[in-house]
Amino acid sequence: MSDQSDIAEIEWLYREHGPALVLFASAIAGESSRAQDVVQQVFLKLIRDGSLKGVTEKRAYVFACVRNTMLNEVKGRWRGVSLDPETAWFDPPMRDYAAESNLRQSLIALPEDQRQVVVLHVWGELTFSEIADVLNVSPNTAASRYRYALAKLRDSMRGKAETHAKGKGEIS
Amino acid sequence: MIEPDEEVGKNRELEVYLRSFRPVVPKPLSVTLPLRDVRRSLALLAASLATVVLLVAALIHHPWIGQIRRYHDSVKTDSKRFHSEQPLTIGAANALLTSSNSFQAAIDQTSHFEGAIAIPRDKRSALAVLSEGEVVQQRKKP
Repeated sequence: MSDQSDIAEIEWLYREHGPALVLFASAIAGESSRAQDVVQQVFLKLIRDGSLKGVTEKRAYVFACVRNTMLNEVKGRWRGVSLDPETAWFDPPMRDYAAESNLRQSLIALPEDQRQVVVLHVWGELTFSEIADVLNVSPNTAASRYRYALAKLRDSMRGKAETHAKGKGEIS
Repeated sequence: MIEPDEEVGKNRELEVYLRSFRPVVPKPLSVTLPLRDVRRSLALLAASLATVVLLVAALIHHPWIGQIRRYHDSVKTDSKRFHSEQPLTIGAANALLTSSNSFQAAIDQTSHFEGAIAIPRDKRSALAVLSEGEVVQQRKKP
């Protein structure tokens, strides 16, 4: 059982990294409500078991916990990510929900290993070395997956944005 | 063909754009009370309830509760035995005096008898008539 200072630290981790953790879980599961439940489950287990004691890289550790729990959850009944069109993953700048949907669909279209690296590096702010620990790959592999993923995202988002603009032009 | 420096620059731009999208903030951590504490509270609650039940059971079966119950039962029986809807007559009073242990007990039991029967307005009790006759006779005397 965690003592009060441990619980305060775990709660701080949740407040600080909760949004990125839920995004990471959503990137694995494809829908955010289940992702939220899994992240809560992970943090409650951390509080109950006091398993954060002695961990040096706490941020990377909680991302790894969320990944393992999420993979256990979806094991056997999940094959590939299906997009949930109702739930936004992001608060878009300038309330541009078309751009949010564009980004979400482009992320979903990425291969799973690349999608996880992008989320961990861009929104989780983990270094490639930390990402390597979370995903059990080498830092070079993580970095190369990231480069491929960014190239695909750029193309995918540009293509979708152009299609969206054309559609708008045809309507007007 | 994109040059490495150019690619790095484009990636930086894309990263900045991507970071402008903030992940949705999840609902707050719902359970602040650890599960073990919840279990402990439930156990305490169950223990308190059991204690209350045992106390009530002990009180119900305590000897002096039985004494009080027996006293109430005897009072009910006595009042049923002695209560009479008839007014107290000389005969009833004699019967009481013979059956009671003492004179005082007999007097106490007379309280269970109804009071005098109400006499209708146009009628007079025999006692009233007799006592009036006595007064008239006394007046006639010189």
